[in-house]
Amino acid sequence: MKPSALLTRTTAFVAGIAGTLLLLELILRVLPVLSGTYAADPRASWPVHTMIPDTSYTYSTGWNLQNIHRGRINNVGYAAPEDYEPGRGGIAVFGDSYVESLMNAYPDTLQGSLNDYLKTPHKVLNFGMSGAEMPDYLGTAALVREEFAPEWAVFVITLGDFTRGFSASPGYFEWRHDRSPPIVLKPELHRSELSKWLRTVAVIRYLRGNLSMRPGELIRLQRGSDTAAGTTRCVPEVLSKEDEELLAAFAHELPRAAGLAPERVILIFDSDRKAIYAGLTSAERLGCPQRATLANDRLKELAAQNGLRVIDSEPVFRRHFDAGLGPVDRSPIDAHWNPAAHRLMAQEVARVIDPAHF
Amino acid sequence: MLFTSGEFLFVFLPVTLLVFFAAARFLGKGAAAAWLTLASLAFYGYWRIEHTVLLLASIAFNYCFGEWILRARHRADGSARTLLAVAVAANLAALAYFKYADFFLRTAADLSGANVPLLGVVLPLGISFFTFTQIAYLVDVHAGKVIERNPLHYALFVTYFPHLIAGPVLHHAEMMPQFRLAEIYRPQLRKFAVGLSFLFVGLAKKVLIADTVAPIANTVFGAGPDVALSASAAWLGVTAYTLQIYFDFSGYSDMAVGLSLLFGVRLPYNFNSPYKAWNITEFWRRWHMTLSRFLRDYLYVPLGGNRRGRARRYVNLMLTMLLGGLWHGASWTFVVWGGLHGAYLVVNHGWQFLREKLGWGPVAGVGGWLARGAGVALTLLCVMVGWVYFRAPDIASANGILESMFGIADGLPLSSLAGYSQGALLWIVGFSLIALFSRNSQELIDGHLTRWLDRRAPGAYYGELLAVKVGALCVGVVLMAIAAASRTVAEFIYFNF
Repeated sequence: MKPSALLTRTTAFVAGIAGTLLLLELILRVLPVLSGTYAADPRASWPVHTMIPDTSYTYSTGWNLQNIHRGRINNVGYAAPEDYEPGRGGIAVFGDSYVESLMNAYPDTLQGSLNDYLKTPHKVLNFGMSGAEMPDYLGTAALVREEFAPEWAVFVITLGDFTRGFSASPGYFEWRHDRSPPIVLKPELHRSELSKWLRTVAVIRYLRGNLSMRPGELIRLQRGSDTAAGTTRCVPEVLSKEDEELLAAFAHELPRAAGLAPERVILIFDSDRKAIYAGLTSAERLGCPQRATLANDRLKELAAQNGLRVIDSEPVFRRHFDAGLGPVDRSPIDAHWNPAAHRLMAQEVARVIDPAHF
Repeated sequence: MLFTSGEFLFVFLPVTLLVFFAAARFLGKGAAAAWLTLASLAFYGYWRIEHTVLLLASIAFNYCFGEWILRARHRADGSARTLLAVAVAANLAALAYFKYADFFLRTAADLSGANVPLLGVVLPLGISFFTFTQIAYLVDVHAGKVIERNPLHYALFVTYFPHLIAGPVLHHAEMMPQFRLAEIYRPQLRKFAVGLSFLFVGLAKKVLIADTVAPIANTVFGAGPDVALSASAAWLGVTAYTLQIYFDFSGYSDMAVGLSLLFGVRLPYNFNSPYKAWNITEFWRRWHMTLSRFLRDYLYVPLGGNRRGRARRYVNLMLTMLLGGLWHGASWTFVVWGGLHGAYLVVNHGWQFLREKLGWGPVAGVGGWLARGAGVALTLLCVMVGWVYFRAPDIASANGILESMFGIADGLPLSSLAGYSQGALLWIVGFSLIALFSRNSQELIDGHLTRWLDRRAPGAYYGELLAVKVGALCVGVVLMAIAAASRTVAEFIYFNF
C-alpha cells in the first residue's frame, strides 16, 4: 500500500471513531444518563467528601438506563429534598451508598420513610455518602454533632465497611491505629477544570456512571478456571489484635463523636442476603470465616456491650423473604436495598425511637 | 477468557492478529498457521492448562488413527473398519469419562440405593465439540472423503479458537482447505469490516439482550421445586430464558463467525431465526444448524435414516434426539428435553404423512398466513416447554414450572421476582419482537451490508469508506466490552456443554 493511501485510510479510521463518539454524545445528551453526582471542591466548613451543594442529579443504571430517579443535592451536599439548618436536632442517618440510596426514590428510603412510622414526626437528616466506610461514620458524626446536634444517630453498617476503611479515597476518613479516635481524613482533591469539564461529557458519564467503567478493571488477567468450574476456595480469615482494637474504639467513640448517650445511637447491620435467599445461614453459605463478616459480628457484640442499640436486619429480611414477599435487593445485579428493605429498617428504627407507638 | 472480556478483546485478539499477519508476511504461511494454532492452545489453556494436554493428546491420537485408517483402506481386509471402531470408541470413552462418569454413577446410586462415591471429574471445556469434529474426520477418512491431511492444518482446524469452546461444530472439509488459501494470510479491510460487524452484533446480542433478561430467568429457574410460582411469573421466566438462550448462543456464534473473518476464514452459520420456524422440523433446520447437520450425517443417517420404513425412521429420529439431548449435558433433564424434541419430530413427520395421505395441500391466501402463524405459535410453545427441562436444575423443578405455566399450581406473583419491573417486562416484549420479526445477523451483514459494500467497490475512496466503518465498529466493540465488564462474569450458556 502506498504511504499516501495508508495516511488517508488511517485518517478515515480515526474519523470513524471520532464521528461515532460524537453521534453517541448527541444521543446520550438527550437521554437520562447518570449526572449531577459530582464531587464538591474541598470546603473548610465541611471537609469530607460531598456532592456539589444546591444542585440536582439524575440517577440511572446499566446500558439501558434502568431505574431512573431524579433528586436534589441539598445545601450541605447530600441527597435530600430539603436543606439542613444548623442546630436543629432530629435524627441523623449515616451510611454509604445504601443510605445515600440514589437508586430509590427519596420517600422510599430509610430516612425518607422513617416519619411514616413515628408517632411524632422528627427532622431526619441524611448523611449517607457513596464510598463512606466505618471511619467516615465516626468522622462525619463529629462534624454533624458540631453543626446539627441531632437527638438520635442511626448508622447502617454493611459488609466490608470495616475492611475497606483501611484504604480511603480523597475526602474520606480512614483507620489510623495510632490516633484517638483512630481515624484520619485523607484531604479532598481540588479537581482541575479539565476533569470538571470531562465529567459533563455524556459519553464519559455513561461509561463511568451507567456502565461503571474502571479502566484498570477492564482487563482482568485472571484465569477463568475458577469461575468456569463454579468453585469457591475457602481461605479462613481471622481478626487481628489491631482489628479488635479498632472495632472496640469505634464502638466506644461513636456515641461521643455523635454527642449522644449510647442508647441514642442505633446501629443497623446489613445481612448476608444471598444466604437468606438460599435458605442458609451466612456461615453455611460462605463455608469459612471471612474478615469482613467477623468484623461486623464482633462489632455487634461490642456495640451491645457499650450500650448502643443494635438492629440485626437478618431475621427481619429472612421473615420478609420466607413470607414470599421476594428479595430485598434493588435488583439481581444491584445488591443495594430496595424500598421494601428500607421501609423494614425504618420500622425497626421507629420501634427503637418510639417504642410506645408499637 | 470470554469473547466479551477486556483481556480477550484488548490483549489476546490484537496480539494474535498482528503476529499472525506479520508471521505470514515475513515467515510464510506455515509459520502463521503454527502461530494461530499456538495462540488457540493458549486461549484454551487460559482456563485450565492441564486440559491442554488432553486436547493435544486427542488431536495426535485422532490424526494418527486417521492416517492408519487411510493406509488400511487400501488393504481391503476390514482392518480400516476395525481401526475406525477403535478410534471412535476411544473418543466416546474419553467423552463418557470426562462428561458422563459422575452422571452414570449417580444414576446407578439412585437406582440401587447404594452409596456410590462420585469421581468429581472436571469437565474439560469444549470436549463435546472437539470430540465430535474429530469423529466426523475419522468417519470421513474411512469413507474416502478426506482430501486435505496437512497435520498443521488438522491441528489448527481442531484448536481454532473462534469455535473451540462452544462451536459451531465444524466440518474438516469446510475448514482445512481454507487454511491453504494465500488470501487468508493477508489483512483485508473488507473482511475486517464484515468480521467486526458480526463481532459487534454478536456482542450486542450477548451483552445487551441475553445478559439483560438472564436475571429474571435465573430467579424463576432458581426458585427450586418447593416454591410455587404464579402462571404469569412462570411464563415470564420461561420467556426470558427462551430469549436468553437464543441471543446468548446465536450471539456467541456470530462472534465466532466475526472473529474468524478477521483472520479471513469463513465459519458456517449456526442460526437462522429459529423462532420464526413454522414446524419443529424447520426449527431444527434453523437452530444450532451445525449440530443438526452433524447429528443427521453421523448418527441419523448411519442408523438408517428414512431408508428402512416409517416406523424405523421414527425410532431413528427419537434415538438421534435422545442422544443429542444427552450430548448437551450429563443430566436427565437433557434426556427429557431430547426425548420431547424426538416426540415433536415424530408427530410432525406423522402429520406430514397424514396430510399427504389425505391429499391436503398447502393453503393459499389469508388462510395460509393464518395456518403459518398458528404453526409458528405452536412450534414456539413446544420449544418453550422443552426449554423448561433444558434449563431447570432437575425434573421436579421443571415439572413445577410447567404446572405453574398451565395453571395447575399457583404461587409467587410476578412482582416478587428479583429483577422484575414493568421496564423489564417491556424489554422482554421488545426482545421477543426482535427474535420473531427482525432480520437476523447474516441477513443484515452478509446480505445488506456486503451488497452495499459491493455496490461501492472498487470505486473511489472505497478503502477509506471501509476504514471509517472499521473505526466506528471498533468504538462499538469497545462499548460492548465495557458494558459486559459492568456486570459480574457471565459465562456463555454453551460453555457447559
